[in-house]
Amino acid sequence: MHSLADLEAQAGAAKPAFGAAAHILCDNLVRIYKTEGVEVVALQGLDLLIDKGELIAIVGASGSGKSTLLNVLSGLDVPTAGLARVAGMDLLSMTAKDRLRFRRSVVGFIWQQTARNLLPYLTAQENVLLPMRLATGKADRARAGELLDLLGVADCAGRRPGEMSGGQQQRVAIAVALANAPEVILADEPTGELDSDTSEEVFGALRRANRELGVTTVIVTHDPMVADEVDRTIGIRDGRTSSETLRRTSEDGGVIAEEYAVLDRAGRLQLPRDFMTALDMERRVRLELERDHIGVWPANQGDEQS
Amino acid sequence: MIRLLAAHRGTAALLALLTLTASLLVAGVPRALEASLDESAATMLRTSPPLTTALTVVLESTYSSDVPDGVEKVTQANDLWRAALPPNVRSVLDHTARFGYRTAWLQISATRHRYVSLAWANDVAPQIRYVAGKAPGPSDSPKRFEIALATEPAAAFDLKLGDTIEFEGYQGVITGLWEPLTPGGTFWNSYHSGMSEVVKRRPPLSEETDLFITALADGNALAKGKMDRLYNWTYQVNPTAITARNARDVLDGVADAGREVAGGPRSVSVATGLPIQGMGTSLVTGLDQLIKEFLDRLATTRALMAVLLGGLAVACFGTIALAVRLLGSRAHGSLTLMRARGGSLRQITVVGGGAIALAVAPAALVGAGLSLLVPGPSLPILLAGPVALAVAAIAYGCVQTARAHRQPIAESRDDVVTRRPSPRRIALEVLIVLLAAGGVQLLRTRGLGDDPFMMVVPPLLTVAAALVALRVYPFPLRLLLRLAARRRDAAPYLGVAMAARAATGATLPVLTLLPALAICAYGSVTADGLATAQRLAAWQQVGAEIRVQRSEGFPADLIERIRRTPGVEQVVPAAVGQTNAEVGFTGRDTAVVAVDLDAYRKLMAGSPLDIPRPAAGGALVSSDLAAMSSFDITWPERMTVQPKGKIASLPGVDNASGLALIVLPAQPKYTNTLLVNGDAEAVRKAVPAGTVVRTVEDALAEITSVPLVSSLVTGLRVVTLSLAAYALAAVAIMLVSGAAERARALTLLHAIGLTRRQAKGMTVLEIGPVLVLAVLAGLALGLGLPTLLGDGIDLSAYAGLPFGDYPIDPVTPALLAGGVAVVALAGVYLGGSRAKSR
Ligand SMILES: Nc1ncnc2c1ncn2[C@@H]1O[C@H](COP(=O)(O)OP(=O)(O)OP(=O)(O)O)[C@@H](O)[C@H]1O
Ligand SMILES: [Mg+2]
Repeated sequence: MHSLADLEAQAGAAKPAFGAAAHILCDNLVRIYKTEGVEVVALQGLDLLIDKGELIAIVGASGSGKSTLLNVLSGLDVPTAGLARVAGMDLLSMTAKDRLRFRRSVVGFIWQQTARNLLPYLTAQENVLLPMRLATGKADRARAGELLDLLGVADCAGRRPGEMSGGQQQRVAIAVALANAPEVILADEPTGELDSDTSEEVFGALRRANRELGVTTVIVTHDPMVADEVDRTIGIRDGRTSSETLRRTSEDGGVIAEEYAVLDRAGRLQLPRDFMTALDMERRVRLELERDHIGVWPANQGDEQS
Repeated sequence: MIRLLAAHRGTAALLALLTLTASLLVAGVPRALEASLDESAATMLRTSPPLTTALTVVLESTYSSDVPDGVEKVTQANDLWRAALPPNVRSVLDHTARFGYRTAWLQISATRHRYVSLAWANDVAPQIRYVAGKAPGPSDSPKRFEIALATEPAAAFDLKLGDTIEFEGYQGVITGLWEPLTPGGTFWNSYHSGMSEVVKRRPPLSEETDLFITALADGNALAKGKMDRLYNWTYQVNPTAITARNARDVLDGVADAGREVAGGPRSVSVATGLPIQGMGTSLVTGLDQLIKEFLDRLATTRALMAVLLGGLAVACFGTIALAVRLLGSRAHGSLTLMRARGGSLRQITVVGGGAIALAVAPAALVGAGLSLLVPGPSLPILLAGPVALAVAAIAYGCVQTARAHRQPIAESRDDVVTRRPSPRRIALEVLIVLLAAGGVQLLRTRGLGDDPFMMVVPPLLTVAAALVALRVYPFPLRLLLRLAARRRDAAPYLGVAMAARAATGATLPVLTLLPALAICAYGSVTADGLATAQRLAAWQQVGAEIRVQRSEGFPADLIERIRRTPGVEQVVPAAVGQTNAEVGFTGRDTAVVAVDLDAYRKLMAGSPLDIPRPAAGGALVSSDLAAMSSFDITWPERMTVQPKGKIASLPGVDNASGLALIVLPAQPKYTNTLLVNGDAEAVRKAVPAGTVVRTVEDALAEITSVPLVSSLVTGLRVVTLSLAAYALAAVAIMLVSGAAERARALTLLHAIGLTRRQAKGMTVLEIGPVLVLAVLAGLALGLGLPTLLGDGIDLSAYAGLPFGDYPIDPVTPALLAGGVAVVALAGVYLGGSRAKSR
């Protein structure tokens, strides 16, 4: 058995560039909201690695910190502590100017509420042109047309949000998010307000953007359909990543989904709540290192009394 | 930007409208006021005796060796003097040339009390017509002159064409007799008064009257003569050239001119309109005195209007700021999105501020443009108001946008966030309150004056009061909350709880509403007080509803006839006159009134004046006579007066100029005055010719028709009503601002069983406390302002009476403020139900 000190030493000395290759990297990310003396820890040491060009989903109970994470990743919010890097830019040490550049050209963002993504008094095309105008002052109409075309809403170019369906609005919103050719697209429950067919369309559009433009895409969702169709689903619980589901296509064409618990660099692990209740695990458990796995046992009466 | 605005066109239109009216008021009211100030300056100049307003350079040959020796020199001197006047005076003069010279009064030989003066004036010839003979020609000897007399004095002195008069060693041969072409008018009554007629003057203590006539002589002959001469060059003021703005400058100019011409301006004899003679050359004018009086009134008016306009500006800006904030909150979503989509803070501020500028700037421009339609002088400074308003609104909009979007965070959870007051803000509030308190202290001791800081004090005071009220406000609210919590019905509790939550948002509304209502109340108190004072002054002047005077006296049968005239209700006969109370060596000049005081009291019941009760067995006298046990008087009859009580004044009796006063409390034997109640027209018809009938209404009309007074009152009313309107607008905006959130809360509560009536009640309870706070505090402050400002603003010039001695009448302001509150609450109540139907 290794001593704790050994483990720590190992951890400290281990791979100096943790996630150096990752496109999105969060390490021990903490975000604390302070309001009138009450502190809400929305993210409590969250770790996350996403590679370039990946399409992943983030799931989790309400209030688990998904939106907070996305806000941090999109540069709208500043984390309290930890490390967050997107496309090589450190989100904590960024100056306001860098942050603005980051929002302009590195990330695109889509919200859940269809109405919040678009300015109601601009047409779809103008909405797409808006980020370009804000960033460079130039409006590339051709590119806007291409993007709308790619997302299957070319016919809506001249319409205002009010004259479009929710699905169309969200797809225009994706076009808006893509306007400045970002490296990352972050979507916070983009299909939350839509029925399943429309959700399918919107998700399809996101996937197309991911495949054809190679944009790293992160989707926060409650929608099992979305979660089932991405390569990797990351579960968040109480402000930290708790599980990961990897999907691959098996030889016979079926999808094999394997769920993993996330082990952070300090060796912390979250046990699924239903596992814990099933075995009545509380406060502490016994661990035993076997040859190829670790056993976890509920603490017995005798242990608890000691 | 334009589309952002178009999307919120309702709010933008409201903002634009508010800005427009505010600019119109802020630029228009002072403009109209300036116009009326100018008008009053012009009226003052027009109605004063022309020689009083004119500048006259006087040169006495006695004291100067360097006197013009002929018409040519005098004419040259006219231009020289004019050129010597300071430019700020020269610019207000008209171009009339008026100069001449005359000898002193020379006694006509072999007569007593008859004097002649030889004169020449440049402007007389075209105004006269010779009825006999011709104009005087040159003389062959410095002791002998050809002269021309007007027909009237010639007849009075029994002189004919060709006669020779001798005076103090000189001779005058009458070669012409003339008549004025147009008798009367300023020319003969003022500039050349006494030239066409005999002037009679009784020297003090003399039994006989002196008679003076003027004889025209040839200018050159007269100038070469040996007698002492008085030269004068008169420069008339163009009445419209002196305005509220250049008056001080002109005053300085007149002082300079006086120094320039000689040892300082001399005064004009009020009795004759002639200059009081000075030494050598001097400048004679009453203009400086007139301007000084005008400037005093001007300062008062401006100070008062500054207070009101300051309040108006605060209210206007507050309301506009509310509208800006409303627009900001409406556009918040769009701007947040832009910010999230990569808009820099600058871009967002430009868009947000630009949208506001787009709504405000044209409106301010139009408002300022419309204000040009208000008759008045075009002063660039007046445009400063609209510009300042627009700039402030835009700046506020920019700051507001920048603050709201400093952090690009999408969600702001303002339901959780209750801002704790920052120390900086508390420090600022304390500073404002201290400044206001200090300002008031200064104001009470120094008066408003022209000091810009002083003008800021009253609005600052209202703002300070609003800040204090806001700090105090949570306490009664908490009490209310506790009371509401005790009730079984949940709606009141919820309403008050919502009010408590809305307290942080109440800052701007209260900061707008309270000053608006305070100044509104102040304005209406002032206007009312002014009206009361004027009414009182009118009553004071007349002393009864109708005062009938006849120098010949009223015989008993005439009094009886008037008494019986239909329409006449009560008649109290009186004798009003002057006599000498025989006290000390010289006696004491005193006004005497003999009147039945009991009847007089009855007559005056219901008037704003109090008539003293008669003292048993004696007269009421002013305090300087009260010490005597008795003294004699000769009028209205020879009698002995026994003072039994004191009296300072009696309405309708002028004893202000140091006269003592005696009131004999009995109906007089001799009557020269009737104090009447009833129909003035009936009285007018019933009295014989030569009787003077004067009513309170006449006196009041005289007092109020002075242009300055009427425009001040109009200004007061306009500003007061505008303030009330702005207060309402502020409430409306406050209501609209919270509408969305309220609707959400109410929908939720409806879902769990809130009735429509409860919803309405809740809304009233939510808005009500702030409203009641603002209205009550505003009203209290407004009513207190006259006391707080003390003598800072003294309106006695308008009322003809010391102003402010009258109890403040809180009815009108209370009605106004109450009206605002009621209309607002009714709006809230109805709005509450609308929120539901949405
Ligand atoms: N602005 C804020 N101030 C205070 N607390 C906040 C704020 N925003 C979020 N929180 C808190 O942080 C926690 C995480 O919130 P977050 O919005 O990230 O959850 P979420 O996973 O997106 O939930 P949902 O699925 O309901 O959208 C919650 O407990 C929430 O109450
Ligand atoms: Mg969320």
